[in-house]
Amino acid sequence: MKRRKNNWLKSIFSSLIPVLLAFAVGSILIMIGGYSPIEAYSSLFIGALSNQNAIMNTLFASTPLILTGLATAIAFKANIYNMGVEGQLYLGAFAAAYLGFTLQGMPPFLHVAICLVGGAFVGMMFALVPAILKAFWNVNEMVVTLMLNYAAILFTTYLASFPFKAPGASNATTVDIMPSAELPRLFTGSQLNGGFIVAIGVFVLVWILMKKMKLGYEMNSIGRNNEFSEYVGMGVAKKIILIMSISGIVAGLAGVGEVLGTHRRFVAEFSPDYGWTGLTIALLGKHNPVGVLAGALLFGILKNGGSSMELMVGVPRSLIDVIQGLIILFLAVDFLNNQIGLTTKLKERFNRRKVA
Amino acid sequence: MDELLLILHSTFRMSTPIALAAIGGIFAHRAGVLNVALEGMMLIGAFVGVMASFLTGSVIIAIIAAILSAIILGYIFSFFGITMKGNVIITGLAINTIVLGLTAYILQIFFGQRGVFSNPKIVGLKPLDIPILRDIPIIGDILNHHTPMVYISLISLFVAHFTLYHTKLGLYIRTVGEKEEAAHSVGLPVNRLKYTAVLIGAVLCGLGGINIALENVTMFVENMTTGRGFIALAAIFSGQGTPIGTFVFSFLFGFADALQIRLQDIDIPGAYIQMIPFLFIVVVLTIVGIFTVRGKTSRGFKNE
Repeated sequence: MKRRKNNWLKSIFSSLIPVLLAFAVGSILIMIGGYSPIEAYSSLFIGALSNQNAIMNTLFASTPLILTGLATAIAFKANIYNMGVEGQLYLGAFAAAYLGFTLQGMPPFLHVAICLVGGAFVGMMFALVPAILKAFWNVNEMVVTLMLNYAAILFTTYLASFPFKAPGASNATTVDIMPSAELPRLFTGSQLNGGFIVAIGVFVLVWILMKKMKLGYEMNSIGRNNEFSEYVGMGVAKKIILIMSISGIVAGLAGVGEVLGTHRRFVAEFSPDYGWTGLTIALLGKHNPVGVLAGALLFGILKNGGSSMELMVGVPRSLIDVIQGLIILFLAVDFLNNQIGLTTKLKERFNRRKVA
Repeated sequence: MDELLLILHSTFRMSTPIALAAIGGIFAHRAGVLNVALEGMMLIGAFVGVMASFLTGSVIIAIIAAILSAIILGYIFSFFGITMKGNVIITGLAINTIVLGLTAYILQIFFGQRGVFSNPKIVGLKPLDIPILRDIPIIGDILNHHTPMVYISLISLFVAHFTLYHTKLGLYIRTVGEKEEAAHSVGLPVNRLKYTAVLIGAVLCGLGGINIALENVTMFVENMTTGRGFIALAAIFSGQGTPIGTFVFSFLFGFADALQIRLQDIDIPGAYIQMIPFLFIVVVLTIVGIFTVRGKTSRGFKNE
C-alpha cells in the first residue's frame, strides 16, 4: 500500500518538475523582455482562476483540448500513431455544421444529438482509412494520418469557400446553424457551453473503456508488444481498426463541440492546432485519461491566463507557446529516472579524468 | 508550352525548401532517429536569416546565421532525444512549439511587430543568371534564374547520395539505423553518428528556411513554414529514405503547389489541386504496402 502511494507521488512529481522548469526558463524570457516574471505569472493565474468567470473561461478553453487529448491518447496507448486528430476534427466539425444548417424544424435536443452522432460518424470514417491501411498492409499510419490532415483541411476550406459559402460573407464560412442545433451556454457572461458537458461525458466513457474494459487491457498489450498480442490471439488487425475508430469518434466530437457551442457555423481553418495541442497533452498525461484531463486543464489555464497576462502586464501571448513547448521538452526526458543516470555518468567521467 | 515551362520553373522554386529539408532529414532517418523537428529547424532558419539580413544587410551573413541557429537547435534536439534518451517524437514536437512561440515572442519584444516583419532593409536572395544554362532552350527556361538555394538543393541531392552509399560515414550511419546493437558491438560511436546525422539535416533545414523567407517575399511571417517540414518528412517516408526517391516526392509537392498557383488565375479552386500530392502519397504507400505484404510468408505483426 505504501509503495503504491509512493508511485503516485512519483508520477505527480515527474509531471510537476518539467512544468516548474518550464516556468523558470519562461521567467528568464520575461526578464529579457523587460518585464517582471512575478507580475506576469500572477496576472496569468489571476486571469485564469481568480473568480467564477475566469474559471468558466478556462474550462471553455480546455473543452476541445480534453477531447483531442483523449482521442490521441486512445490511439497512442496502443502504440498507433494517430497524428490525424486535426483532420478528423475538421471533417467532424463540417458534418455537424452541415446537419446543423440543413435540418429544419427539429426539436432542439434531437437536433443536437443528430449533429453529435453525424460528426462522430464522419470522424470515425475518416480515421478508418489509415486504420484499414495499417491493419491489412502495415502502411505507416503516421505518414498517412499526417497527409490526410492536410487533405481534410484543404477539403473543408474548399467546401466553406465555394459550395457552402454563406452569401455575402467576406471570408470562408458557412451560414449559421439552426438555433435548435446550438449547444447552449451554461452561464451568462462566459462562453462555456454544453460542449464541456459532452467532453466530460466522453472523458468518463474513455476512462471506463481504458481502465475497466477488456479492450483497455488489449490496447495496453498491443501497445507494449503487438507481436505477442497477435500470438496469443488478440486479432491485432481488428483491434487496430476498432481503436482507431474510437479515436476518430472522439476527434470528430471535438470538432462538433466547437461548431455547435462556439462558432455556431463552420469557419474554414478555425482550429488553432487543437489536434497538435491534444497530441502533446496526451503525451503529457502519459496516455492516461485522468492525466489527459489534468493536462487539458493546465493548457486551458495557460491559454486563458495568457490573454490576461498580455492585457495586464504586456508580455506577448506567444510566451505561452514557448512555455508549453518547454514543458513538453522536459517531459520527454524522464527526469526522476534519468537524472540519476546523468549524475552517475558525470561522476564516472569525473573519476576517470582524475585517474588519468 | 510556355505555360508548362513557367509551371516547371516555379516547381523548382516551390520544391526547393521541401527538398533541402527532406534530403537533410534522410540522414537522421537512416540513423534511426525520427526527426520531427525539421519544421522548427526551417522556421528558426527563416527567422534568424531575416533578422541577420535586416541587421547587417548581408545575405552571406544571413545564410551563416540561419545555419548556425539551426545547428544549435539540432544540438538541443540531439541532447534531449539522444543523450538524455527522451522520446524523439515528443522532443521534436516540443522544439517545433518552442520555435513557433519564441520567434513570435522575439519579434514582438524587440521589433514591436506582431505576426509579420517586413522592412526595405531586408536584403533578399537574388536569382542567378547562369551563362551556360541561358543558351540551352528548354532546360534553360526551367533551370535558369533561380536563387542559389535551388542549385544547392540539386547539388545536395548528389552529395547526399554519394555520402550515404559511397563513404564510410554513410555506411556507419546506415548501420546505426539498421542494427544499432551490431554497431555498438563493433565499436562505432553510435551517439556521435546520430548527432552528426541530425546536424547534417539541421544545416540543410537552415538553408531551406532561408529560401522560404528571402527568395521572393523577403519578410518573416509567423509560422511561415506552414508544415513544410512535415511534408519533407512524408517525402522521406514515401521515398523509402533514398535521396533520389525523396527528391522525386519533394518535387511532386512543389509541382502541385506551382500548378495550384497557376490554376487560381483561371478560377479553378486551388484546394483540389493542393490535395493531390497528399492523397498521392497515401496511394503510393498503400501500393508499396500491398506488395510487401504479399511477399511475406508469415502472418502477423512485427514490433517496430
